[in-house]
Amino acid sequence: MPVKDEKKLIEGCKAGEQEAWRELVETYRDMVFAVARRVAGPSAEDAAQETFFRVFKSLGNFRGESKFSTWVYRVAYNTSLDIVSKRGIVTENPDGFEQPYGGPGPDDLTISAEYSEAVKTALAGIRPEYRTVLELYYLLGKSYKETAEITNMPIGTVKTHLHRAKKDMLKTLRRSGVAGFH
Amino acid sequence: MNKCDEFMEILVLGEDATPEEKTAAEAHAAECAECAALVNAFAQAEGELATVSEAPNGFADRVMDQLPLPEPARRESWTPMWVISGAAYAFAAVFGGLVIWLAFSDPSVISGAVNDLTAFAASPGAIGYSAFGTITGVSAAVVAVAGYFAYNLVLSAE
Ligand SMILES: [Zn+2]
Repeated sequence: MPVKDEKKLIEGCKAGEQEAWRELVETYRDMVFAVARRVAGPSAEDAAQETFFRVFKSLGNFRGESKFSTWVYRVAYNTSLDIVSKRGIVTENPDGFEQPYGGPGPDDLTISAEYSEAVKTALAGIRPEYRTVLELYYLLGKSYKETAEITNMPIGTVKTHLHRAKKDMLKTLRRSGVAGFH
Repeated sequence: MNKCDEFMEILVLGEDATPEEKTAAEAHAAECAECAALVNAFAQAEGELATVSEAPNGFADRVMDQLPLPEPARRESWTPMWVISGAAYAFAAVFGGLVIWLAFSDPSVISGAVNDLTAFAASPGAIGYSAFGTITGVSAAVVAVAGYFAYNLVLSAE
């Protein structure tokens, strides 16, 4: 969306205009839902709805220091984390790296149905503390900066998490046989 | 770590690899079926991870329904004004019609009302039964006119 239109849109939303809000929701719903899916898994719908509610309540605090989309995605990320911690969804993998590949594991609760089996397998092998960063990084078009802004992590930490996550993914893919060998 | 592992690390994670190392790793993947398959699987995973699928049907409507947007609330708060001024408007029409009908059927009603009001202005404490009726009527007309103006004010404010 061009910046000028976005400014107008934000002004309209701040004024409480119904039409402006509809446009904002329709512009960001897919990305907000995607972030919610990656972080909150089966609670994505609630997390995404709550995100727009929080955007509604705190839009007055948006001062344009970051891109508006980044600000919205950060709200989505934080809201999803809150919902996960409130509901106690399993994000830790008790079997760690040694979980049998391909079989249903506790992490399937948070790995979205939209991925193919091969990707689910690869993701299941990533240590949970690194997986979200990896998913957000790709979702955000491989931007270290935006991933760091949304997760409130230093860029160096994002890079470290990504490196470890990719390494886990590679190891799992190799051992799972999805790459066509054993 | 065997050679394949080393080459894969360079291909997938090699942010710090030199151009020579990258070229060597690519040359290896072109020769090694296992590494080539792994590079493909990794690329497929990256592609899926980057895919943004659509939010479920009706999601935007559900969001809009739960947002406490101020507009419907504002309209609600004006509703009582609408009712009051509407009622006053209707009353003014009925009352006006009644006065006109009385004046036509018996012109002395008008001069009687003027006499009543004059008597009331001269001595507000001592009004008779017929003067009380006139004053009630005039007050009702004033309320009706005030209501009509209030109604216009509301319209211009919106
Ligand atoms: Zn190889």
